[in-house]
Amino acid sequence: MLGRIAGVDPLKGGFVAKVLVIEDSVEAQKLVELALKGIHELDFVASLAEARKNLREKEFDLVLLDLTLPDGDGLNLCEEVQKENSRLPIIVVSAKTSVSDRVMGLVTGADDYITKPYDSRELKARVDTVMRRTHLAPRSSQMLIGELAVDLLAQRVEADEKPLDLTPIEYRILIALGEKMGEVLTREQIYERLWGEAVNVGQRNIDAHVSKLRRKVKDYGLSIHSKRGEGYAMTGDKLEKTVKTTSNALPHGIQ
Amino acid sequence: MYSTEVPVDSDIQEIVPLFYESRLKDLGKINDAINDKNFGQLKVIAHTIKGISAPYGYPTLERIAKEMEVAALHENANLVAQKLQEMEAYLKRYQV
Repeated sequence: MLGRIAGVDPLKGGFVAKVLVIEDSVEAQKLVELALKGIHELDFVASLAEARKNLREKEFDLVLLDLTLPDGDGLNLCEEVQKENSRLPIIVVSAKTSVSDRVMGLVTGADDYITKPYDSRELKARVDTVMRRTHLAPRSSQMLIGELAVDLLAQRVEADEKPLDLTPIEYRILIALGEKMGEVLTREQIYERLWGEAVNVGQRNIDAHVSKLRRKVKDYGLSIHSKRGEGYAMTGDKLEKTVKTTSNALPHGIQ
Repeated sequence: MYSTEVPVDSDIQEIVPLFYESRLKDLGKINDAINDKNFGQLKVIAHTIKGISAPYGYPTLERIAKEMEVAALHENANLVAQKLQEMEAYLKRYQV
């Protein structure tokens, strides 16, 4: 399952999140659309099977999850996402309103639980809050990429205990590729990670930044390969597993 | 044309027909599920109606659906049938 860093809308401020809405009722989908359209990007699916397919193939910032779905209980998916990609926030939106239902949802891994019927302003506010909480505060403070030690809070990279001089763009490309070690990221995916979709910057501009980053990291066990017509992939030259993150440095929910 | 029990915003008003016509289809599905004693299906339908009726301007429908869901949970076919009649009568009031 894929995760992404949400784009920042320079005009409105705040995040432009790509949201997967898992909801089988068309009328309920319409309510979500009315609440969030024009603020966030929405993809709708009506079953767990479709949801799993989308989560495998696309990147999302947030999942809005109904629990009563035609092919099963949404909590099963919540559990799966928690195991495979605990950085992807989930808001359960359900007509199951009892305390035990809400507790079960949160215990299973949901970041928030909204009961139906809800006010559209409440949905928007809860989405914004979860996005702020989960995407502004990285859950891990340290990350190892090859021989590089990355401090995600300070946005600082060290090699052999000395700072590696990276521009902010190079830093974000390093994180994007480092999080998906060995996988090809398209220019479009890297572009989204850097600027979000609201800013119109040519995707070819990424090439120059990648080229400089490649030169800076090559001495530290890392290679950046360009795949013609596809994008870029980073691999570790020496270490079998080159990306590690520490346990949560920040308690979940603390910004 | 369909009216609502309580006023709703114009953007919701535009999609009230979609909501209303889906509920008319639900009446048939509920009837079939009662005949089949398919309480699982009844719970799902009632649960869905319960969750979305109020924002579309039909708070009483939410209440009826909630009662139907509980009746289905207890596998009380007579009470579910009674709630179906109530639902049907309620919806007719807002068809203009």
